[in-house]
Amino acid sequence: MRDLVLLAVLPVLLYAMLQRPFIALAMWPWTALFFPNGWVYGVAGSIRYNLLFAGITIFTYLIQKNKPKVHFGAIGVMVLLFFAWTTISTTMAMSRPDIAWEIWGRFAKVIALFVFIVLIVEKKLHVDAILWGVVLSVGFYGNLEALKFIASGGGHMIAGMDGHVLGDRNELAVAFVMTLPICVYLLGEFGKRSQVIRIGLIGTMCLLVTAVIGTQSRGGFIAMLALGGYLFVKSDRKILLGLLAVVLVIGLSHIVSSEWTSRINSINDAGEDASFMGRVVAWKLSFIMASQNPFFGGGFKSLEYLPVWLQLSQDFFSYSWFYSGDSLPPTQFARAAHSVYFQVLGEHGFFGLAIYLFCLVGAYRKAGKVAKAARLRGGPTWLRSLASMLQLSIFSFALGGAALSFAYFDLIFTLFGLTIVLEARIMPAVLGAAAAPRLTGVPA
Amino acid sequence: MESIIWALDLVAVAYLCLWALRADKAESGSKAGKPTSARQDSRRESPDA
Repeated sequence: MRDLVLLAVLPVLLYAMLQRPFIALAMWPWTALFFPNGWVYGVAGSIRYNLLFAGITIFTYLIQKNKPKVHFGAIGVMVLLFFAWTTISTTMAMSRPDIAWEIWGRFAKVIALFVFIVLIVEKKLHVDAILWGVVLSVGFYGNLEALKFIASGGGHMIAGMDGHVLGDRNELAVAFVMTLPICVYLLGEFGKRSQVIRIGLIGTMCLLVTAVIGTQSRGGFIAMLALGGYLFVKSDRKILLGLLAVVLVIGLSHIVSSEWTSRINSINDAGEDASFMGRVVAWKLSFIMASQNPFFGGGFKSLEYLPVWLQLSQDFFSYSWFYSGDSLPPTQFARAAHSVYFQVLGEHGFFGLAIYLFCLVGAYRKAGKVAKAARLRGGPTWLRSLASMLQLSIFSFALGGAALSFAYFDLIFTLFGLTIVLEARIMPAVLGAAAAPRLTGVPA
Repeated sequence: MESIIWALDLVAVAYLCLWALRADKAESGSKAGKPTSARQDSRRESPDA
């Protein structure tokens, strides 16, 4: 049945995508995050949607007349440099070369998405289409899982789908948190136009919060709390957000289990928590790997390769200043880095981490700069809201990703691309148009 | 139930594509004949854009 629905909808998508490259571009992250192949079991499952949509994006861009002038800026150049850096580190990877190159290939697709966002997106409509695609993929999955969580009285454990980029429940929780500011922006923009969209987006936000709770991810929960505080400060809709928070806390207090409460309470005892200290051990080994290979690190997935893990463990006590409690590296299996920062540090060295941080901090600051310029120069409300919400989404990733191996997530590189075009292309056009009537003496 | 919500999401995605196409055509139509498109504005206002 799902196959029939997907095959019935596909021609509509293809028709629109072939008409405009930005629509194909919006469907590219949607298909990566929605993972249509994971939902169908028949003939529709044999189509490689992500490849198809990416191919259409590239094809329609190449045949497009009057292409926008290319502007990557400092962040764009650094993202490309980071990719080049990972390519070199992959050629020298300490892990199995086939695995390292497979991860490199996946990251190359993320970078291709980033490049085409910078090449194609040139106005608000394009950004809105991409953000709607995110909400209809990550938001959809959050809604569905949250409904199951509520229907089961809090018994359903929310987890990602096997084979999906968001397969891990902690990563899923951070993706849900990152989608919340996007919903806030879209609500401000489209909520007044349609009651259905307004109710749908408010409902999605409530269900995304519920879904974060349902993943039992402590990192996701902390990121959500921090985002809530930040969102409250930044938002013009403080009363609405405050009411939503009260309703959610009252509603969720009847659903969450004692298991969830005790798990969240363990945040206070992180120093004694075996799961958390296991992560600290992985961080320490990532640091040791970077210390031994400061320029290019160990390459993709090197820490998770048991021979490398065991070799690094031999130097574990040489870095006694790096506190890891009584925890020791396991000898039967290797672990992931469990932090985007230590992941990049171990896999691509100190220089790789410096480039990555430049991109992350640079995009965060650039989005803030656009929001400030829009406020000071009398720009439209949507521009300030969009920039602020992109900034909040990046903030959520930076915080939630501190305890996850999630450095090459499609959505964060999508946000990098959107931030670049927002500052270089959309803001000058919008603020220029807003200033023009004033310059000519016509009321704005 | 899961399949129904999944199908509704796909319909929403199809609607998004058609809405985006219609909105872009409408924007292009309203700008036809005018010398300043958003892209041209961007180039004029920002020398490095």
